[in-house]
Amino acid sequence: MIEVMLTLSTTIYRLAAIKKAAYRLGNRCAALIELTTDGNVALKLISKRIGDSTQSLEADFLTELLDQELRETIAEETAPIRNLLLAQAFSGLAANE
Amino acid sequence: MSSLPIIKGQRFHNLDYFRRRSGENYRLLPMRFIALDDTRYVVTNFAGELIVLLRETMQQLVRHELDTASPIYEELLARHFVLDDDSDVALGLLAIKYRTKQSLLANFTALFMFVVSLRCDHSCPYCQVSRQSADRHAYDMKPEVVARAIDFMFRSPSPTIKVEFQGGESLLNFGLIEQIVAEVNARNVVENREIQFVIATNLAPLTDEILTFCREHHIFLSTSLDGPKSLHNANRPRPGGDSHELVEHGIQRAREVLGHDQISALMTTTAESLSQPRAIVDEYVRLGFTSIFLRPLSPYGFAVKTGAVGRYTVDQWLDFYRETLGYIIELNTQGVPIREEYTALLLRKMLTPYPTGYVDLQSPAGIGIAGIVFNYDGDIYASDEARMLAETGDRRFRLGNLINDSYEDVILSDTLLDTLSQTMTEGVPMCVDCGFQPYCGSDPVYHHATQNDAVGFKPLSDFCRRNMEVMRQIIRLLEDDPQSAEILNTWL
Repeated sequence: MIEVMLTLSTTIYRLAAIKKAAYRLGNRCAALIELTTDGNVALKLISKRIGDSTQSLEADFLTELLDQELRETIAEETAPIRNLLLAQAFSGLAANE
Repeated sequence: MSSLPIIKGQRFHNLDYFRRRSGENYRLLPMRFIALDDTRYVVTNFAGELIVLLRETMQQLVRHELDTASPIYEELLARHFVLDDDSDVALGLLAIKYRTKQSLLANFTALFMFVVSLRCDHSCPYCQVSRQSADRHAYDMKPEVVARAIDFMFRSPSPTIKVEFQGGESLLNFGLIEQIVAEVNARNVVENREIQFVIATNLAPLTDEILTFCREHHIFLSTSLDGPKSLHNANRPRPGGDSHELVEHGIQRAREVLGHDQISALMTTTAESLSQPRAIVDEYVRLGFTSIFLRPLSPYGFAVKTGAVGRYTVDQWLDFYRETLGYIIELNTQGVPIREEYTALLLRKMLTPYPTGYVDLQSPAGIGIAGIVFNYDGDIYASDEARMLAETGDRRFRLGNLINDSYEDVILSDTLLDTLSQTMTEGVPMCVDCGFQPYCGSDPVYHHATQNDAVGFKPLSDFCRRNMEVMRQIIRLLEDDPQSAEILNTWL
């Protein structure tokens, strides 16, 4: 089985995004996520598939990681509005007032 | 001729409005996304409206670098993906749209399935119910159970109630169906609900007497038709090997007595079906149906015992779905009106503001709160699949018993409430961020049966893979194939 080792900067990628990307690829690989002494993330992906390639697994993980990072950005910016919308939808009160 | 609208005291925006501006002045509204292919995302907003964006456009949008004078910005604004100073009604409107999508929750349980008998004259290897032979009356619903079931049903606040008779073969206990219809109608003089009766039947025991009763009480029939004669009879063996002949005759007689649209049919996909997509659709057309539901096998009952459920993969079913859907669209272009019901259901979720009430595609799951099952022995199950699971010994989703438990005991049971809270896809790992979340569900019975966990690990879930790929196919057709899109839009 192949393995992929990556060091990811937590100033660029949120830990939540790294975990979600690893989860999303859970049918394909297992993941070990550890914080390094300098505050970065050491990630080991262990392929579950016979015939999977290092390059393919790494590329797909990084693509997924960017998607997850984008999602985290959206979630962070829209959390207050989401809560407001839910309150308005189920209370009948006007959020704009 | 009416005059142009006046917005904020002006007939037109000033020139500055139309100049290129960076996106620093807009705010993102809640949205989810999922890859459609290598270059595009499906993006859905808080109320489930969708837009397909190029990956770079999505990144520009989120980084607030989108040109606010661009047509795509105007579209994102109009569809409530962004908010700016000129869109002060957006939040209120978006909240109303979201509330409308969830409106069925307020009505609570509207579908009640009465398993009037487990007896059946067929011996289908894919049976999800674990039927009993036709002479074993111990598997018939008892009168004392019926009375409690009707009491229970009318405790639901729903203004509309569907009573569906299930089996086994439900018509083998037709006397009980007559009794239940009479009692429900008598109670409804006071209750004043909108009641619809449906009998799920293979039509083999159908008689003129039964049809007359159905006509008098406006009862709808739902039957099984797997395709052409050879396939149907191979899938659905019975003594005499004449299941197809009986169902065809039954469909014809039902239409003569009840009306053409008072009977519908469901097909089940077996391994033998996979190579016959055109023949299956052609049979539905030949028999005068204008819709078909491409239903995969479910992992319950005899389907598991006989191994039928493991004879094809989800990817094989998806190939079958795509090919069959393509053929159905091709027929439509030739003027043959037929639609695929699962696709139509998803289209309504994607393209209209209204909820569908389809139990498998709801958040929280529809178990118990959209539909509930009264088994022949008085046991209450959260869904038809839950009782199918129970027939093979797994009672995880048994909510109680009509004789021993009250409505409150059942509806407020930990079994139901814990499961419901676990099936809110708004909080389920992977679903929470998925662009298809507004259209999908989290089938807890399926995931319990396949992964021994009601939530399930989504990367390994065939339910998840099947639905995601079906939705991708539909959206690809809407985006990339104008002729198919035109036809799909008529299925709403």
